[in-house]
Amino acid sequence: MTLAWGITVALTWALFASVSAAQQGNLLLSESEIELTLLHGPWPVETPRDSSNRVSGNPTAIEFGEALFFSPELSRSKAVSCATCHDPDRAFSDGRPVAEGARNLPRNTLALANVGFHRWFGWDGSTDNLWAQSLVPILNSEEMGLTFDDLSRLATHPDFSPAYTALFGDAKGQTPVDISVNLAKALAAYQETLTTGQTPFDRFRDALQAEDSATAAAYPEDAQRGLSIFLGRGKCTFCHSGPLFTNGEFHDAGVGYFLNEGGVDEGRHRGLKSLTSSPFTLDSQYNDDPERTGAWAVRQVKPQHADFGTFRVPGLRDVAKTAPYMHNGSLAHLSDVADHYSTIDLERMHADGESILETLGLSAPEAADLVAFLESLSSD
Amino acid sequence: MRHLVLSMIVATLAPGWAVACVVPEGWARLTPEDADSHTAALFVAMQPVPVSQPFDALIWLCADEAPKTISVTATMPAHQHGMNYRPAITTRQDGTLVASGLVFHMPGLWRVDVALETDAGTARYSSELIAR
Repeated sequence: MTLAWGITVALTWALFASVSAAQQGNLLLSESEIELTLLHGPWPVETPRDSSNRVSGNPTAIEFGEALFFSPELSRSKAVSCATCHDPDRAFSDGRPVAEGARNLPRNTLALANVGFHRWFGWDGSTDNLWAQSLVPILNSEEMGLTFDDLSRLATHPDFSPAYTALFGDAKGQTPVDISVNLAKALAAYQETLTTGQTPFDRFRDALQAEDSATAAAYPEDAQRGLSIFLGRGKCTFCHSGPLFTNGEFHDAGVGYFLNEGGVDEGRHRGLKSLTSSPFTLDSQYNDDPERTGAWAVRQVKPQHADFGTFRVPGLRDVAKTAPYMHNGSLAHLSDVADHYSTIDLERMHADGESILETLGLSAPEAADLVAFLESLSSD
Repeated sequence: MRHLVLSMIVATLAPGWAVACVVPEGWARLTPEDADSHTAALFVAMQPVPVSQPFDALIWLCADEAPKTISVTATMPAHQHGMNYRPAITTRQDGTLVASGLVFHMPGLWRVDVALETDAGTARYSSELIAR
């Protein structure tokens, strides 16, 4: 009886343990992979205040900026607002391959998630601050199509005048450019609040930090395998680094930059030309910080031949919500992105560029694992 | 530069008498060493260097003559690329050189190269840093 009882207990325990293990999963990462994983957090963190924008973090400015963001008064047609392309229901992108405002543009609409953390803005980094970037589509004749004079009239619009005056003083006596920059600073103050939340990956990362193996093991095994590819063989983390999953710089990802209409998208090369001729950089009079903190980047950035056809590395938080992908929206799904890097033609890469990417040759299950990891970067 | 002034006085009074250059404690000596003319060392306050964040590198120089030009660059040997920014070089009151605005935009091993041009030629030094 005693032996039978003991065997029964042992078998019951073994069955319970195996069922528990299957439900919980296993921790698949090596010690070195865990170390690398920790570098992609912590998250979320507070958006830093922008010292170049005197209304950054100001609740009145944030509310005013939000009203501007959703107002079609910011377009010549009175039919287009910032939210037309940066749709809150699409993680502040538009779900199209290329942006459509007043006319088709050859670039995919960048999502605004975590935009307040960037050093450079736009696919080509033609601006070095968020308020200058906010002016770009408003003043572009192919997008929202306003002039400085048009835009400045919003300061005395009955919907906006009280907030404008409270923040920036009486608009009378201010130049149209000054008023436009002030309005852009309110827009920037609002956009700084567009941040992503905690994700399943972050809970996994935090559990690893706390050496809580049980909680860490709850992170799906396919996402763990995908993370392992991301950190190692895929070399993704060289460009998609840190808590934001971007180094904020510009690279050749083997995506073509020839335009359908003829010509090329010069990418960073063109962006630097625009930057150095812009009157609205952090090294300008419009920077509210007397120390011009942050101006070092525009002063010291080094134009290089290899900049041609390179584009800014987007962050990957909420990436599953912002299809399609790449600067020209040419990849419809995350599985297409995995396939792109799996079959990338290195002969198409810059001859004088960096030597990082390799043709990954992922199997179908490996590609699915990589996608599972990327999907785990979506906030709850 | 205090170290340079000392070196030059000694050279004038006692030709052929080499001045002992002692690398400051905690600083990494730049390679290659050249005991006949220069000794240089590098200091970075935070190691490993944070990825994509600007940082300063201090360069201490003990030399027989002040360099006419100084350049500081960095490359990532494994990936065959350099930095996207040119550091700004200034000199502190104590003669220490400050290279500001270095940015290592990828994790891994970087090599910092310092080139000093004098009438005698160009002396080149390097040191390795890790970005994480």
